[in-house]
Amino acid sequence: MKGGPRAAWLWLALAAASAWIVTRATIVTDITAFLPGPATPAQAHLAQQLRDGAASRVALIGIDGAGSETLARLSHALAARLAGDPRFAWVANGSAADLAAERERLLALRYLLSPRVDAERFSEAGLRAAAAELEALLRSSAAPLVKPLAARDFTGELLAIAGELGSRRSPATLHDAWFDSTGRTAILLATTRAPGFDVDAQAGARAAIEAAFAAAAQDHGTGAELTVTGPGMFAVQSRAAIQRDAERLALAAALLVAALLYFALRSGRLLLGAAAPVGLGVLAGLAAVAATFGTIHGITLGFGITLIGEAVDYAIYVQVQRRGTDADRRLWRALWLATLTSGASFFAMMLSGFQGLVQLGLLSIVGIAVAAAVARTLLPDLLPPLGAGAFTRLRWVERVPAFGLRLRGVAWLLTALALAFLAHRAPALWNDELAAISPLAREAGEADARLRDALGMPDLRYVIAVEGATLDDALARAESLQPRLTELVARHAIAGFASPAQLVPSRARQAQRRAALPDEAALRADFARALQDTALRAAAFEPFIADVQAGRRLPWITPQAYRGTGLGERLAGQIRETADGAAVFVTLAGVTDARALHGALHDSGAVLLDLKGDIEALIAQYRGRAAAAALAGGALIVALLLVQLRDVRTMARIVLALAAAVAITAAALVAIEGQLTLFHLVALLLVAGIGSNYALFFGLPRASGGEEAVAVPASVLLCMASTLLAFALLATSSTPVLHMIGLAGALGAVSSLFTAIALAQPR
Amino acid sequence: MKRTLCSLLASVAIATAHAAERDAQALLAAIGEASRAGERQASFVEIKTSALLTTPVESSGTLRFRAPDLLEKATAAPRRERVTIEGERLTIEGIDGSGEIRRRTLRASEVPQLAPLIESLRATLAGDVAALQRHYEIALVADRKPPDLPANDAARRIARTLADPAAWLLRLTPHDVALRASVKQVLLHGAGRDIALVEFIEAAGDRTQLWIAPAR
Repeated sequence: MKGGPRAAWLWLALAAASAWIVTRATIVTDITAFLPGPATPAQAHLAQQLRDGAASRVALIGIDGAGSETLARLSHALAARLAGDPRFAWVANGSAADLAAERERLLALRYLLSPRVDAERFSEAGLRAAAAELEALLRSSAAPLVKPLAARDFTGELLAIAGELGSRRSPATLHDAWFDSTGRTAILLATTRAPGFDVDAQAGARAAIEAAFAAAAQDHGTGAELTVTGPGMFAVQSRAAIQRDAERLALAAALLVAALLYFALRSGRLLLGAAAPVGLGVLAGLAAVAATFGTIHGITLGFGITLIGEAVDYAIYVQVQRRGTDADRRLWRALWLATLTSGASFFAMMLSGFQGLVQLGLLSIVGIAVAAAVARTLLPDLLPPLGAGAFTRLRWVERVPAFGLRLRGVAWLLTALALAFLAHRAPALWNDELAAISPLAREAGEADARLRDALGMPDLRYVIAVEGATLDDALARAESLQPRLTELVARHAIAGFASPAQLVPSRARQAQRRAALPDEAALRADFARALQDTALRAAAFEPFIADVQAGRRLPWITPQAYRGTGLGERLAGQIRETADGAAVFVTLAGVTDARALHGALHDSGAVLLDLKGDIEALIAQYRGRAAAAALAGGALIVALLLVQLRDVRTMARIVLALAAAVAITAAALVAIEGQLTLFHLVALLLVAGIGSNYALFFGLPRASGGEEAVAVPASVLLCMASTLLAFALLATSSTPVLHMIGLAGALGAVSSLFTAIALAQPR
Repeated sequence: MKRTLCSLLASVAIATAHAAERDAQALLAAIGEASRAGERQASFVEIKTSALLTTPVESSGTLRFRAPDLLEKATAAPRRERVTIEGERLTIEGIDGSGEIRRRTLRASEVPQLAPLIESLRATLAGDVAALQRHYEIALVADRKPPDLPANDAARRIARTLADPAAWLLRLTPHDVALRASVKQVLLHGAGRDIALVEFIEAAGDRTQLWIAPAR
């Protein structure tokens, strides 16, 4: 007996300290924590922009489930409520007022923005051409579109600007509100003041949207439904989902495992005893993560549940297998080895060097080490050995080892089939898409894509990053790209592009346009002559003369000129200024020929970022390193066993059983899920950790008769059943990551037990 | 006593208003029925008067309506142009200054300044009361005055048919405040089941008259 009451007090103190640390830690769900850092400065700019920039603050709101007029009324009511809420910087629902505000800005700045402004355009000949064009338009059926602004915008610069900006499809408008093309969903756009990664603030914003909608829906007495998407909203949603799943499934797993143990062993004390290593292990693991990293990732939390399945095993072994001095000695030795080999496979996760996996590895290593230590020091006092009668009901278990040996051939065959199947699928074994490992449920991503598409927002797969020493420098470089991009549009390689330089031209370009505007006397003289042979009434165009003069006095256009409009929001997402430079991002729409795009940008100094391609390449690289780390973990297990057992044959049996279990599990996963992801790989390491325990208990020599012949297989079977329960529950989670780990763990528990009895036992 | 008289007058007024609406609906139903009998074709003369222009400008061409919802306005002079609306799809084809053909297809909802104006004629020809009411308040004007005789000969011939005491005038007032800022009223003048003139009464004294002569 070690420790006694003093050990109990020590463990209690550790539990209290851990609980204190864990309750103070913040839970994050940002998937980037699980990804390697960006490789280039342009990628770093973009990653930062996506994390806390304007793009991360966007909330897309869809309302459906009522007639279009009701939906439009709800849209206006919601927009009005959110506009008055300090949590939101900007709200738009496509009303005429929104669009008019944008048009007013562009109209005021048009003479410094329009690509057609030059000295030629304001010469007598240029004005004559403009007069002919305007007269033709006023005679045409399009007259109602031109008339409202014709007196001010004689040369039609607003149309020229709209033509340049209008590569985006504009959303449909019904009853003065944005709708999708079917007219069944009203759409609003809002940006929060808080950055997307501030999940607490985003949760507040989301609650505000839901409350505002509920109030609006009550006023209009409808049962319409609300959909909210966007990066910040997703962070809230996935955190809530992971937290809910983790808590609910942990509770369910604990209850079911407890029920199983009670049913098998009829010992209330065991339940109490099992809670100690489980609770302390999970708490200490989470506390170690929180203390090391400051935050706990939601995915790490999910893995915490899997520790329940593992740590409860130690209590079972201690309770069931203590049957006299020899048996106890063998038990402690097996337990020690089991902790070492599990630790080795978890250590492999840390070897990959990526923060997310290091968190998981740390959680698991600390968790099982504490659980094993508690089992060794506390449980012998807490749990008196079971009475001799405890095994009468379990006599049948005695036959399991012999039965397992007869399955040897089947096991080898299965392993060979599994390996052949994996080899056959090898070319497309891995799915490296970000969506596959995102903590987000797939439907949420689809809703987001639908709303984005309806609003004509650019797809963010390809983005051109242009860097400069100053913002003006970057804008000038982006400006010089424009002819190349226009040519790509003409060649149908891309459908369109949106460059910040279209809204904020470089200082040089602005100065050039300002200098092209004539003074009042010259303009009046040329204008009068230009109108001589037309039906246009010169006196009606006084506002034009005044606006050109105002254009000559316009201050420099900066991004701030668009504040409070949709254009301002778009710009904020495309410009990033830091202490040592600036980057602007040109978004692209409808990229059909990526190769032509690459070619056109070659030696332009701009960088084409392929977000999907870049991220997938990074994930693949990450997975490669994780796989190498797994191999290293395998080698570590072999070395540990060799050193501890000093028996090559026993070591070989145990390692082969372990490898066979991993191969069968991997093949089963591919058969069920189609492809493997990074998280499946991580789960396989977990399976190796579990499987090594089963292989050890069956592989190490033990007494051939008496109670020990029942106790060892019975305890392993119980462990397998409890692990299977915990993981199978996790597999029911709607969060993809938790589901993947759960399924892999459940399959792994079964195949590990199978290979342990078939292949690890001495003949 | 006084109160009784007032309420009596009020109910008469309401009854008259209801009757006017019923009459408008009956008229639209008759026009719609005639349209369903076969494709309608007509020639048109359009006269635009605007503060931006020194003189009224004219254009001419043909109109075509096919039930239930196709309306095409093909201008032949002075510059060729064609505007077609079918269902929600609006197509504008024109020849620009350099002689190039330009074609734009839009959803009607994308051009709220233009689509309701076209709808005033299309929905009337279709006899589609609901479509008209979506954009306009409809009234059949009882004490109508025939429009002033225009300078254009073809238009003058059409205007004479409106001297008939059985001719009618339908007044459409836009619901939408933004639209009312550019078009205050649409006046449809007709005789029998034919529309002879569509007048868009615009802001600042501008107006557009579309004179229509059915092709026989």
